[in-house]
Amino acid sequence: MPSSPLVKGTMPLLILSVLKDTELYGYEIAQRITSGSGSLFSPSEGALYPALHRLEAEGALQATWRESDRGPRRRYYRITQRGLGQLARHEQDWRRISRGITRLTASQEADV
Amino acid sequence: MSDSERFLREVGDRLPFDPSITADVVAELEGHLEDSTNALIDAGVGPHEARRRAIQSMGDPAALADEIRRAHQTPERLLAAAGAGAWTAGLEGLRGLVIGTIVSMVLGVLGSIAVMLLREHLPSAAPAELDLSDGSANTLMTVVALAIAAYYAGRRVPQAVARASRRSLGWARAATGFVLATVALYIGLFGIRSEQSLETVVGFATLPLWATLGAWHAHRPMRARFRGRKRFLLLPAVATVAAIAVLGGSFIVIDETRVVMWADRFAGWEAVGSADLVRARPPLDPQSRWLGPNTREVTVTVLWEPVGYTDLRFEYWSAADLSEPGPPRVVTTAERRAVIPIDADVWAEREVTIQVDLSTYREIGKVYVLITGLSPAGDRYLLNDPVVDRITLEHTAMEWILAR
Repeated sequence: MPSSPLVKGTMPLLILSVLKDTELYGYEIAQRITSGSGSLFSPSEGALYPALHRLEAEGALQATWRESDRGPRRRYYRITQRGLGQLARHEQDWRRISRGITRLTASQEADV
Repeated sequence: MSDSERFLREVGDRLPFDPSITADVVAELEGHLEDSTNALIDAGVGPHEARRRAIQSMGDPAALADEIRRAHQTPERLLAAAGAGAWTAGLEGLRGLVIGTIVSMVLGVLGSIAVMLLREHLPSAAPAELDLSDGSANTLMTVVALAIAAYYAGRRVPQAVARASRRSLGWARAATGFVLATVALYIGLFGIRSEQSLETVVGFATLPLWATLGAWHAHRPMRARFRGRKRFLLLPAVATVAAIAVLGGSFIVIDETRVVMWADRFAGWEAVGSADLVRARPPLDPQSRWLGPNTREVTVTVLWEPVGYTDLRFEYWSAADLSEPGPPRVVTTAERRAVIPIDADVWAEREVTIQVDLSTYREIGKVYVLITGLSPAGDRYLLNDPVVDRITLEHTAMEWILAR
Protein backbone atom coordinates (compact mmCIF):
# COMPACT_ATOMS: atom_id res chain seq x y z
CA MET A 1 0.00 0.00 0.00
CA PRO A 2 1.40 3.44 -0.84
CA SER A 3 2.74 5.09 2.30
CA SER A 4 1.66 8.56 1.22
CA PRO A 5 -0.09 10.42 4.06
CA LEU A 6 -2.87 11.12 1.57
CA VAL A 7 -3.99 7.48 1.51
CA LYS A 8 -3.12 6.60 5.10
CA GLY A 9 -6.49 7.72 6.35
CA THR A 10 -8.36 5.79 3.69
CA MET A 11 -8.16 2.39 5.38
CA PRO A 12 -11.69 2.60 6.89
CA LEU A 13 -13.05 3.61 3.48
CA LEU A 14 -11.30 0.69 1.77
CA ILE A 15 -12.46 -1.82 4.38
CA LEU A 16 -16.05 -0.61 4.45
CA SER A 17 -16.11 -0.56 0.64
CA VAL A 18 -15.16 -4.21 0.26
CA LEU A 19 -17.55 -5.24 3.02
CA LYS A 20 -20.45 -3.31 1.54
CA ASP A 21 -22.15 -6.35 0.04
CA THR A 22 -20.47 -9.31 1.67
CA GLU A 23 -18.95 -10.82 4.80
CA LEU A 24 -15.22 -11.44 4.76
CA TYR A 25 -12.46 -12.27 7.23
CA GLY A 26 -9.21 -10.35 7.65
CA TYR A 27 -7.08 -12.12 5.06
CA GLU A 28 -9.86 -12.03 2.48
CA ILE A 29 -10.41 -8.32 3.12
CA ALA A 30 -6.73 -7.64 2.43
CA GLN A 31 -6.85 -9.73 -0.74
CA ARG A 32 -10.04 -8.05 -1.91
CA ILE A 33 -8.59 -4.56 -1.37
CA THR A 34 -5.43 -5.50 -3.27
CA SER A 35 -7.26 -7.07 -6.21
CA GLY A 36 -10.06 -4.48 -6.24
CA SER A 37 -7.60 -1.58 -6.41
CA GLY A 38 -5.53 -3.18 -9.15
CA SER A 39 -2.76 -3.79 -6.61
CA LEU A 40 -2.56 -0.04 -5.93
CA PHE A 41 -3.45 -0.65 -2.33
CA SER A 42 -2.04 -3.59 -0.47
CA PRO A 43 -2.84 -3.08 3.20
CA SER A 44 -0.30 -4.31 5.69
CA GLU A 45 -1.57 -6.45 8.54
CA GLY A 46 -0.18 -3.88 10.96
CA ALA A 47 -2.70 -1.37 9.62
CA LEU A 48 -5.53 -3.72 8.65
CA TYR A 49 -6.29 -5.41 11.95
CA PRO A 50 -6.17 -2.27 14.14
CA ALA A 51 -8.49 -0.61 11.61
CA LEU A 52 -10.87 -3.58 11.68
CA HIS A 53 -10.95 -3.55 15.48
CA ARG A 54 -11.45 0.20 15.55
CA LEU A 55 -14.38 -0.02 13.16
CA GLU A 56 -15.83 -2.83 15.25
CA ALA A 57 -15.44 -0.76 18.44
CA GLU A 58 -17.21 2.12 16.71
CA GLY A 59 -20.08 -0.16 15.75
CA ALA A 60 -19.43 0.09 12.00
CA LEU A 61 -18.61 -3.61 11.79
CA GLN A 62 -19.84 -6.70 13.51
CA ALA A 63 -17.61 -9.76 13.82
CA THR A 64 -18.52 -13.42 14.23
CA TRP A 65 -16.43 -16.58 14.35
CA ARG A 66 -17.37 -19.08 11.65
CA GLU A 67 -15.91 -21.99 9.75
CA SER A 68 -14.26 -20.68 6.58
CA ASP A 69 -14.43 -22.22 3.10
CA ARG A 70 -10.95 -23.64 3.73
CA GLY A 71 -11.98 -25.31 6.99
CA PRO A 72 -10.53 -23.51 10.04
CA ARG A 73 -12.54 -20.97 11.99
CA ARG A 74 -12.13 -17.37 10.90
CA ARG A 75 -13.43 -14.08 12.21
CA TYR A 76 -15.88 -12.74 9.65
CA TYR A 77 -16.71 -9.05 9.52
CA ARG A 78 -20.04 -7.70 8.41
CA ILE A 79 -20.95 -4.06 7.85
CA THR A 80 -23.70 -2.60 10.06
CA GLN A 81 -26.20 0.18 9.39
CA ARG A 82 -23.88 2.55 11.16
CA GLY A 83 -21.06 1.27 8.98
CA LEU A 84 -23.10 1.95 5.84
CA GLY A 85 -23.67 5.52 7.00
CA GLN A 86 -19.98 5.88 7.75
CA LEU A 87 -19.13 4.49 4.31
CA ALA A 88 -21.44 7.01 2.62
CA ARG A 89 -19.75 9.87 4.48
CA HIS A 90 -16.26 8.56 3.67
CA GLU A 91 -17.17 8.21 -0.02
CA GLN A 92 -18.60 11.71 -0.11
CA ASP A 93 -15.49 13.13 1.58
CA TRP A 94 -13.22 11.22 -0.77
CA ARG A 95 -15.05 12.44 -3.88
CA ARG A 96 -14.89 16.03 -2.66
CA ILE A 97 -11.17 15.78 -1.90
CA SER A 98 -10.51 14.02 -5.17
CA ARG A 99 -12.46 16.65 -7.14
CA GLY A 100 -10.67 19.45 -5.36
CA ILE A 101 -7.24 17.98 -5.97
CA THR A 102 -8.06 17.22 -9.61
CA ARG A 103 -9.29 20.77 -10.17
CA LEU A 104 -6.28 22.27 -8.44
CA THR A 105 -3.70 20.18 -10.29
CA ALA A 106 -5.52 20.80 -13.62
CA SER A 107 -5.48 24.59 -13.11
CA GLN A 108 -1.78 24.49 -12.20
CA GLU A 109 -1.06 22.55 -15.40
CA ALA A 110 -3.07 25.09 -17.46
CA ASP A 111 -1.08 27.97 -15.91
CA VAL A 112 2.15 26.29 -16.91
CA MET B 1 8.39 -22.70 20.13
CA SER B 2 8.08 -21.78 16.45
CA ASP B 3 8.62 -18.26 15.12
CA SER B 4 4.92 -17.75 14.51
CA GLU B 5 4.08 -18.93 18.04
CA ARG B 6 6.68 -16.54 19.43
CA PHE B 7 5.25 -13.71 17.37
CA LEU B 8 1.69 -14.42 18.48
CA ARG B 9 2.72 -14.78 22.10
CA GLU B 10 4.52 -11.45 21.97
CA VAL B 11 1.40 -9.78 20.62
CA GLY B 12 -0.83 -11.48 23.18
CA ASP B 13 1.41 -10.56 26.09
CA ARG B 14 1.15 -6.89 25.21
CA LEU B 15 -2.64 -6.81 25.04
CA PRO B 16 -4.17 -5.71 28.36
CA PHE B 17 -7.54 -7.29 27.54
CA ASP B 18 -9.62 -9.96 29.16
CA PRO B 19 -8.05 -13.35 28.37
CA SER B 20 -10.97 -14.30 26.09
CA ILE B 21 -10.57 -11.13 23.98
CA THR B 22 -6.81 -11.59 23.78
CA ALA B 23 -7.33 -15.21 22.70
CA ASP B 24 -9.69 -14.00 19.94
CA VAL B 25 -7.18 -11.46 18.65
CA VAL B 26 -4.35 -13.99 18.70
CA ALA B 27 -6.49 -16.63 16.97
CA GLU B 28 -7.44 -14.12 14.28
CA LEU B 29 -3.80 -13.23 13.62
CA GLU B 30 -2.88 -16.90 13.68
CA GLY B 31 -5.47 -17.56 10.97
CA HIS B 32 -4.03 -14.72 8.93
CA LEU B 33 -0.51 -16.13 9.27
CA GLU B 34 -1.77 -19.54 8.12
CA ASP B 35 -3.54 -18.06 5.10
CA SER B 36 -0.54 -15.93 4.14
CA THR B 37 1.83 -18.87 4.51
CA ASN B 38 -0.40 -21.19 2.46
CA ALA B 39 -0.79 -18.55 -0.26
CA LEU B 40 2.98 -18.18 -0.53
CA ILE B 41 3.47 -21.97 -0.59
CA ASP B 42 0.85 -22.19 -3.35
CA ALA B 43 2.88 -19.56 -5.24
CA GLY B 44 5.92 -21.82 -5.10
CA VAL B 45 7.76 -20.47 -2.07
CA GLY B 46 9.30 -23.06 0.26
CA PRO B 47 7.42 -23.70 3.54
CA HIS B 48 10.12 -22.28 5.79
CA GLU B 49 10.59 -19.15 3.68
CA ALA B 50 6.82 -18.78 3.35
CA ARG B 51 6.40 -18.78 7.12
CA ARG B 52 9.24 -16.28 7.52
CA ARG B 53 7.74 -13.91 4.95
CA ALA B 54 4.26 -14.22 6.43
CA ILE B 55 5.56 -13.26 9.86
CA GLN B 56 7.64 -10.44 8.41
CA SER B 57 4.61 -8.99 6.64
CA MET B 58 2.85 -8.71 9.99
CA GLY B 59 5.46 -6.17 11.09
CA ASP B 60 6.67 -5.50 14.61
CA PRO B 61 4.56 -7.48 17.12
CA ALA B 62 4.82 -4.75 19.74
CA ALA B 63 3.67 -2.08 17.30
CA LEU B 64 0.83 -4.30 16.08
CA ALA B 65 -0.32 -5.00 19.65
CA ASP B 66 -0.17 -1.30 20.53
CA GLU B 67 -2.22 -0.38 17.47
CA ILE B 68 -4.85 -3.04 18.24
CA ARG B 69 -4.98 -1.89 21.85
CA ARG B 70 -5.50 1.72 20.75
CA ALA B 71 -8.23 0.59 18.38
CA HIS B 72 -10.23 -0.63 21.38
CA GLN B 73 -9.96 2.65 23.27
CA THR B 74 -13.31 4.38 23.36
CA PRO B 75 -14.69 7.00 25.78
CA GLU B 76 -17.00 4.35 27.26
CA ARG B 77 -13.92 2.36 28.14
CA LEU B 78 -12.76 5.11 30.49
CA LEU B 79 -16.03 4.84 32.35
CA ALA B 80 -15.64 1.08 32.53
CA ALA B 81 -12.09 1.59 33.77
CA ALA B 82 -13.27 3.88 36.56
CA GLY B 83 -15.81 1.26 37.64
CA ALA B 84 -13.33 -1.60 37.41
CA GLY B 85 -10.74 0.44 39.28
CA ALA B 86 -13.10 1.35 42.11
CA TRP B 87 -14.36 -2.22 42.41
CA THR B 88 -10.88 -3.71 42.43
CA ALA B 89 -9.59 -1.08 44.84
CA GLY B 90 -12.42 -1.94 47.23
CA LEU B 91 -11.93 -5.69 47.00
CA GLU B 92 -8.16 -5.66 47.05
CA GLY B 93 -8.06 -2.95 49.69
CA LEU B 94 -10.26 -5.14 51.88
CA ARG B 95 -8.04 -8.13 51.24
CA GLY B 96 -4.99 -6.05 52.03
CA LEU B 97 -6.66 -4.77 55.18
CA VAL B 98 -7.27 -8.30 56.42
CA ILE B 99 -3.68 -9.27 55.69
CA GLY B 100 -2.43 -5.99 57.12
CA THR B 101 -4.43 -6.49 60.30
CA ILE B 102 -2.93 -9.93 60.78
CA VAL B 103 0.57 -8.61 60.10
CA SER B 104 0.15 -5.67 62.45
CA MET B 105 -1.22 -7.92 65.19
CA VAL B 106 1.74 -10.25 64.84
CA LEU B 107 4.07 -7.27 65.02
CA GLY B 108 2.17 -5.99 68.02
CA VAL B 109 2.56 -9.29 69.82
CA LEU B 110 6.27 -9.35 68.98
CA GLY B 111 6.54 -5.80 70.26
CA SER B 112 4.72 -6.71 73.46
CA ILE B 113 6.97 -9.63 74.10
CA ALA B 114 9.94 -7.35 73.56
CA VAL B 115 8.45 -4.82 75.98
CA MET B 116 7.92 -7.47 78.60
CA LEU B 117 11.50 -8.62 78.18
CA LEU B 118 12.74 -5.06 78.32
CA ARG B 119 10.72 -4.31 81.39
CA GLU B 120 12.79 -6.64 83.51
CA HIS B 121 15.91 -4.67 82.66
CA LEU B 122 14.53 -1.17 82.89
CA PRO B 123 14.23 1.15 85.90
CA SER B 124 10.96 0.88 87.76
CA ALA B 125 9.59 4.10 86.26
CA ALA B 126 10.07 2.93 82.72
CA PRO B 127 7.34 0.31 82.44
CA ALA B 128 4.64 2.83 83.22
CA GLU B 129 5.90 5.05 80.46
CA LEU B 130 5.85 2.14 78.07
CA ASP B 131 2.32 1.28 79.10
CA LEU B 132 1.24 4.80 78.36
CA SER B 133 2.14 4.39 74.74
CA ASP B 134 -0.46 1.73 74.05
CA GLY B 135 -2.45 4.26 72.11
CA SER B 136 0.53 4.97 69.90
CA ALA B 137 1.01 1.28 69.30
CA ASN B 138 -2.61 0.88 68.25
CA THR B 139 -2.27 3.83 65.90
CA LEU B 140 0.90 2.41 64.45
CA MET B 141 -0.70 -0.96 63.93
CA THR B 142 -3.67 0.66 62.24
CA VAL B 143 -1.32 2.56 59.95
CA VAL B 144 0.58 -0.64 59.14
CA ALA B 145 -2.69 -2.39 58.27
CA LEU B 146 -3.86 0.55 56.16
CA ALA B 147 -0.48 0.81 54.43
CA ILE B 148 -0.69 -2.83 53.39
CA ALA B 149 -4.27 -2.28 52.23
CA ALA B 150 -3.14 0.75 50.21
CA TYR B 151 -0.27 -1.25 48.71
CA TYR B 152 -2.56 -4.12 47.75
CA ALA B 153 -5.12 -1.82 46.19
CA GLY B 154 -2.41 0.04 44.34
CA ARG B 155 -0.88 -3.16 43.08
CA ARG B 156 -4.01 -4.74 41.65
CA VAL B 157 -5.95 -1.77 40.34
CA PRO B 158 -3.69 -0.85 37.38
CA GLN B 159 -4.24 -4.21 35.72
CA ALA B 160 -8.00 -3.92 36.12
CA VAL B 161 -7.93 -0.35 34.81
CA ALA B 162 -5.68 -1.26 31.88
CA ARG B 163 -7.92 -4.20 31.01
CA ALA B 164 -11.12 -2.18 31.17
CA SER B 165 -9.75 0.93 29.48
CA ARG B 166 -7.81 -1.04 26.84
CA ARG B 167 -4.83 1.11 27.63
CA SER B 168 -1.29 0.19 28.44
CA LEU B 169 -0.30 -0.92 31.90
CA GLY B 170 2.07 2.02 32.11
CA TRP B 171 -0.77 4.46 31.52
CA ALA B 172 -3.01 2.64 33.99
CA ARG B 173 -0.23 2.55 36.56
CA ALA B 174 0.34 6.29 36.35
CA ALA B 175 -3.39 7.06 36.44
CA THR B 176 -4.01 4.65 39.31
CA GLY B 177 -1.03 5.85 41.29
CA PHE B 178 -2.21 9.43 40.98
CA VAL B 179 -5.83 8.72 41.90
CA LEU B 180 -5.01 6.37 44.79
CA ALA B 181 -2.38 8.71 46.14
CA THR B 182 -4.86 11.58 46.05
CA VAL B 183 -7.58 9.52 47.76
CA ALA B 184 -5.16 8.17 50.36
CA LEU B 185 -3.81 11.65 50.99
CA TYR B 186 -7.31 12.99 51.40
CA ILE B 187 -8.31 10.23 53.79
CA GLY B 188 -5.07 10.46 55.70
CA LEU B 189 -4.69 14.18 56.03
CA PHE B 190 -8.07 15.73 55.42
CA GLY B 191 -10.65 13.01 55.85
CA ILE B 192 -9.92 11.88 59.39
CA ARG B 193 -11.25 14.69 61.46
CA SER B 194 -9.73 14.16 64.83
CA GLU B 195 -6.79 15.30 66.80
CA GLN B 196 -3.79 13.28 65.75
CA SER B 197 -0.48 12.38 67.24
CA LEU B 198 2.72 12.89 65.31
CA GLU B 199 3.15 9.21 64.51
CA THR B 200 -0.42 9.04 63.24
CA VAL B 201 0.10 11.99 60.97
CA VAL B 202 3.39 10.64 59.68
CA GLY B 203 1.86 7.19 59.26
CA PHE B 204 -1.17 8.45 57.36
CA ALA B 205 1.01 10.73 55.29
CA THR B 206 2.87 7.65 54.03
CA LEU B 207 -0.33 5.96 52.76
CA PRO B 208 -0.19 7.65 49.33
CA LEU B 209 3.36 6.40 48.99
CA TRP B 210 2.27 2.84 49.71
CA ALA B 211 -0.54 3.08 47.19
CA THR B 212 1.81 4.51 44.59
CA LEU B 213 4.44 1.90 45.36
CA GLY B 214 1.81 -0.79 44.85
CA ALA B 215 0.83 0.74 41.51
CA TRP B 216 4.48 0.85 40.54
CA HIS B 217 4.83 -2.84 41.31
CA ALA B 218 1.68 -3.71 39.38
CA HIS B 219 3.48 -5.55 36.61
CA ARG B 220 5.54 -7.73 38.90
CA PRO B 221 4.36 -11.06 40.25
CA MET B 222 4.11 -10.87 44.02
CA ARG B 223 6.18 -13.96 44.75
CA ALA B 224 8.97 -13.20 42.33
CA ARG B 225 10.06 -10.19 44.31
CA PHE B 226 10.79 -12.24 47.40
CA ARG B 227 12.69 -15.04 45.78
CA GLY B 228 16.33 -15.86 46.30
CA ARG B 229 18.45 -13.45 48.22
CA LYS B 230 15.76 -10.80 48.10
CA ARG B 231 13.75 -12.64 50.71
CA PHE B 232 16.45 -11.80 53.23
CA LEU B 233 15.56 -8.15 52.72
CA LEU B 234 12.32 -8.98 54.46
CA LEU B 235 14.14 -9.69 57.70
CA PRO B 236 15.47 -6.17 58.27
CA ALA B 237 12.11 -4.78 57.13
CA VAL B 238 10.23 -6.91 59.66
CA ALA B 239 12.82 -6.16 62.31
CA THR B 240 12.47 -2.43 61.66
CA VAL B 241 8.71 -2.49 61.94
CA ALA B 242 8.92 -4.70 65.01
CA ALA B 243 11.33 -2.24 66.57
CA ILE B 244 8.93 0.60 65.81
CA ALA B 245 6.16 -1.44 67.36
CA VAL B 246 8.30 -1.97 70.44
CA LEU B 247 9.12 1.71 70.71
CA GLY B 248 5.54 2.65 70.01
CA GLY B 249 4.22 0.50 72.79
CA SER B 250 2.84 -2.91 73.35
CA PHE B 251 -0.17 -4.80 72.22
CA ILE B 252 -0.34 -7.80 74.46
CA VAL B 253 -0.41 -5.54 77.49
CA ILE B 254 -3.58 -3.91 76.28
CA ASP B 255 -5.88 -6.37 77.97
CA GLU B 256 -3.90 -6.20 81.13
CA THR B 257 -3.84 -2.44 80.92
CA ARG B 258 -7.56 -2.31 80.53
CA VAL B 259 -7.93 -4.13 83.79
CA VAL B 260 -5.40 -1.90 85.41
CA MET B 261 -7.09 1.16 84.00
CA TRP B 262 -10.39 -0.05 85.33
CA ALA B 263 -8.98 -0.32 88.83
CA ASP B 264 -7.02 2.88 88.45
CA ARG B 265 -10.04 4.67 87.17
CA PHE B 266 -11.85 4.10 90.38
CA ALA B 267 -8.76 4.89 92.31
CA GLY B 268 -8.74 8.09 90.33
CA TRP B 269 -12.32 8.89 90.97
CA GLU B 270 -11.82 8.26 94.64
CA ALA B 271 -8.97 10.70 94.52
CA VAL B 272 -11.25 13.24 92.97
CA GLY B 273 -13.58 12.57 95.81
CA SER B 274 -11.60 15.12 97.72
CA ALA B 275 -12.88 17.57 95.14
CA ASP B 276 -16.39 16.68 96.26
CA LEU B 277 -17.29 14.41 93.41
CA VAL B 278 -17.21 10.75 94.31
CA ARG B 279 -15.93 9.08 97.38
CA ALA B 280 -16.78 5.50 96.70
CA ARG B 281 -18.41 3.42 94.08
CA PRO B 282 -22.04 2.74 94.79
CA PRO B 283 -23.75 -0.41 93.59
CA LEU B 284 -24.54 0.05 89.95
CA ASP B 285 -25.71 -1.83 86.96
CA PRO B 286 -22.70 -2.60 84.78
CA GLN B 287 -24.93 -2.30 81.72
CA SER B 288 -25.45 1.37 82.31
CA ARG B 289 -23.56 2.95 79.46
CA TRP B 290 -23.15 6.24 77.80
CA LEU B 291 -24.54 5.57 74.37
CA GLY B 292 -24.23 8.92 72.77
CA PRO B 293 -21.50 9.86 70.37
CA ASN B 294 -19.15 12.55 71.44
CA THR B 295 -21.14 15.25 69.82
CA ARG B 296 -23.33 18.00 71.00
CA GLU B 297 -26.05 15.63 72.11
CA VAL B 298 -25.28 13.08 74.77
CA THR B 299 -27.70 10.33 75.73
CA VAL B 300 -27.39 8.24 78.85
CA THR B 301 -29.56 5.18 79.18
CA VAL B 302 -30.47 4.39 82.72
CA LEU B 303 -31.19 0.79 83.48
CA TRP B 304 -31.70 1.06 87.18
CA GLU B 305 -33.49 3.16 89.72
CA PRO B 306 -31.39 5.41 91.95
CA VAL B 307 -33.66 4.74 94.91
CA GLY B 308 -32.85 6.96 97.84
CA TYR B 309 -30.54 9.28 95.92
CA THR B 310 -31.40 12.95 95.61
CA ASP B 311 -30.02 15.98 93.82
CA LEU B 312 -29.26 13.98 90.71
CA ARG B 313 -26.90 15.69 88.32
CA PHE B 314 -25.55 15.12 84.91
CA GLU B 315 -21.95 16.22 84.86
CA TYR B 316 -19.31 16.27 82.29
CA TRP B 317 -15.71 16.74 83.10
CA SER B 318 -12.88 17.15 80.77
CA ALA B 319 -9.17 16.85 80.99
CA ALA B 320 -6.65 18.30 78.62
CA ASP B 321 -3.89 15.82 78.35
CA LEU B 322 -2.14 15.15 75.09
CA SER B 323 -0.33 12.05 76.20
CA GLU B 324 -3.57 10.30 77.01
CA PRO B 325 -2.39 8.32 79.95
CA GLY B 326 -4.77 6.31 82.03
CA PRO B 327 -6.11 7.62 85.32
CA PRO B 328 -5.18 8.89 87.80
CA ARG B 329 -3.12 11.40 85.86
CA VAL B 330 -6.02 12.51 83.73
CA VAL B 331 -8.38 12.73 86.62
CA THR B 332 -6.12 14.95 88.59
CA THR B 333 -6.12 17.42 85.71
CA ALA B 334 -9.82 17.13 85.03
CA GLU B 335 -12.12 20.10 85.37
CA ARG B 336 -15.84 20.14 85.72
CA ARG B 337 -17.26 21.69 82.60
CA ALA B 338 -20.97 21.46 83.22
CA VAL B 339 -23.41 20.46 85.91
CA ILE B 340 -26.96 19.93 84.79
CA PRO B 341 -29.64 19.01 87.29
CA ILE B 342 -31.71 16.02 86.25
CA ASP B 343 -35.43 16.15 86.67
CA ALA B 344 -36.63 13.15 88.66
CA ASP B 345 -39.31 12.50 86.01
CA VAL B 346 -36.61 11.81 83.51
CA TRP B 347 -35.63 8.68 85.35
CA ALA B 348 -38.98 7.13 84.63
CA GLU B 349 -38.14 7.26 80.95
CA ARG B 350 -34.85 5.55 81.63
CA GLU B 351 -33.09 7.76 79.18
CA VAL B 352 -31.47 11.11 79.64
CA THR B 353 -30.53 13.29 76.72
CA ILE B 354 -28.45 16.28 77.54
CA GLN B 355 -27.40 18.97 75.14
CA VAL B 356 -23.75 19.70 75.66
CA ASP B 357 -22.07 22.06 73.31
CA LEU B 358 -18.75 20.36 72.78
CA SER B 359 -18.12 22.27 69.58
CA THR B 360 -16.71 25.20 71.49
CA TYR B 361 -14.39 22.94 73.36
CA ARG B 362 -11.24 23.19 71.31
CA GLU B 363 -8.75 21.63 73.63
CA ILE B 364 -7.39 18.17 73.11
CA GLY B 365 -8.17 15.84 75.91
CA LYS B 366 -10.81 13.63 77.42
CA VAL B 367 -14.37 13.99 78.50
CA TYR B 368 -15.96 12.18 81.39
CA VAL B 369 -19.70 11.85 81.27
CA LEU B 370 -21.28 10.89 84.52
CA ILE B 371 -24.35 11.04 86.68
CA THR B 372 -24.03 11.73 90.37
CA GLY B 373 -26.48 11.77 93.23
CA LEU B 374 -26.57 12.44 96.93
CA SER B 375 -26.92 9.35 99.07
CA PRO B 376 -29.18 9.36 102.14
CA ALA B 377 -25.98 9.80 104.13
CA GLY B 378 -25.25 13.03 102.27
CA ASP B 379 -22.31 11.82 100.21
CA ARG B 380 -22.21 12.39 96.47
CA TYR B 381 -21.86 9.19 94.55
CA LEU B 382 -21.20 8.32 90.99
CA LEU B 383 -24.33 6.61 89.76
CA ASN B 384 -23.35 5.45 86.31
CA ASP B 385 -20.44 3.58 85.00
CA PRO B 386 -17.93 6.35 84.45
CA VAL B 387 -17.47 6.88 80.77
CA VAL B 388 -14.16 7.99 79.42
CA ASP B 389 -13.97 9.01 75.85
CA ARG B 390 -11.84 11.20 73.72
CA ILE B 391 -13.20 14.38 72.35
CA THR B 392 -13.28 14.35 68.61
CA LEU B 393 -12.11 17.75 67.70
CA GLU B 394 -12.63 19.22 64.28
CA HIS B 395 -8.99 18.89 63.50
CA THR B 396 -7.74 17.14 60.44
CA ALA B 397 -4.20 15.91 60.35
CA MET B 398 -3.39 18.73 57.97
CA GLU B 399 -4.83 21.28 60.39
CA TRP B 400 -2.82 19.63 63.09
CA ILE B 401 0.33 20.05 61.04
CA LEU B 402 -0.48 23.64 60.13
CA ALA B 403 -1.26 24.50 63.75
CA ARG B 404 2.31 23.60 64.53
